[in-house]
Amino acid sequence: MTYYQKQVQHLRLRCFPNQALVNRLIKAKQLIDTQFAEALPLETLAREAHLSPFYFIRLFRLCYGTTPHQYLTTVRIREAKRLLLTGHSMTDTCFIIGFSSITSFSALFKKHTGQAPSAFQKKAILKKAAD
Amino acid sequence: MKIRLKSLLVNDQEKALQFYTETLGFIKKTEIPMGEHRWLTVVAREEPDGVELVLEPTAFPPAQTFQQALFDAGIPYTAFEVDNLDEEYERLLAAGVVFSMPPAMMGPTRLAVFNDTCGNNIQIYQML
Repeated sequence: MTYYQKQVQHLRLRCFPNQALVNRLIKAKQLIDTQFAEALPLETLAREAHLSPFYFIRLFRLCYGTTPHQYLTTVRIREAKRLLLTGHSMTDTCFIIGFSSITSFSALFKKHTGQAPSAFQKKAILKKAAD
Repeated sequence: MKIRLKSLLVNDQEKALQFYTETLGFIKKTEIPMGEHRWLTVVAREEPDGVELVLEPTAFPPAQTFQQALFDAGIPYTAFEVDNLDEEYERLLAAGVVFSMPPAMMGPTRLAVFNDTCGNNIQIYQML
C-alpha cells in the first residue's frame, strides 16, 4: 500500500467514519443535481437525507464544502451558462432553471460569473464567430 | 487575471502526448517548438476552451527529484474529474493502464489513481 493510499484510508476513517450517513447526503445532493429547476426548500432536501434541517446543512457543508443553497445556486448558474451558450434567450433560461424573476436571476448570474447573462451570451457568440 | 493553464511535469513529451490524447482522450491544443522541447498543451474534448494542461519537460534536475518523490509515495500529481468513475476505470484498464489505487470511496467522492507512464500518478474522481 502506498503512502497516499494510507493517507486516504486514514482521512476517510477520520473525516467520514459513517458512510451510511454520507450516502444519505449524496442522495440529497443528487436531488439538487436532477431537480434543480424545481422549488427545493431546505426541508425537502433535509427530508431526503432523513436529517433535521440544521444538522443537514452542517453535514452537507462538511461533505461538499458548501451549503445546500449555495450548491443549488452553482448548479443553476452552470445550467444557465449551458442554455445561454446553446442559444436560449435570457428569459427562457431564467424560467427553465427555476427562477421566477429575471432581475434576481440576472443579478445572481452577474455575481457568479462577473457578467450579465446578455453580455455573457454576446461574448460567446462573438468568440464563436471569430473561431 | 485568469487561470488558463495547469502545468504537468512529464519525462517524455512525445510519449505523454500519445498517452494523454490516445489513451485518456484529450485533444492537442497548442504545439510550439522550443529548442529541444515544445510548448505542448492538451484540453478536455468536452471543454476545448477550458483550462489547458501543459505537458512540461522535466529538464530541470530538481523537478525530476520532485516528480520522483511524488511518484514513489503514490501521490497524484494532479486529478481529473470524470462523469462515471467505474466506467472510466474499466475503460482504462482495458486500454492497459496500470492503477496504483483501485476505485475507493472518500466521503462523497469516488476516486482511483493510475500511472500515466510519464513519471506521474494521476487521480480520477467522481463527485457523487
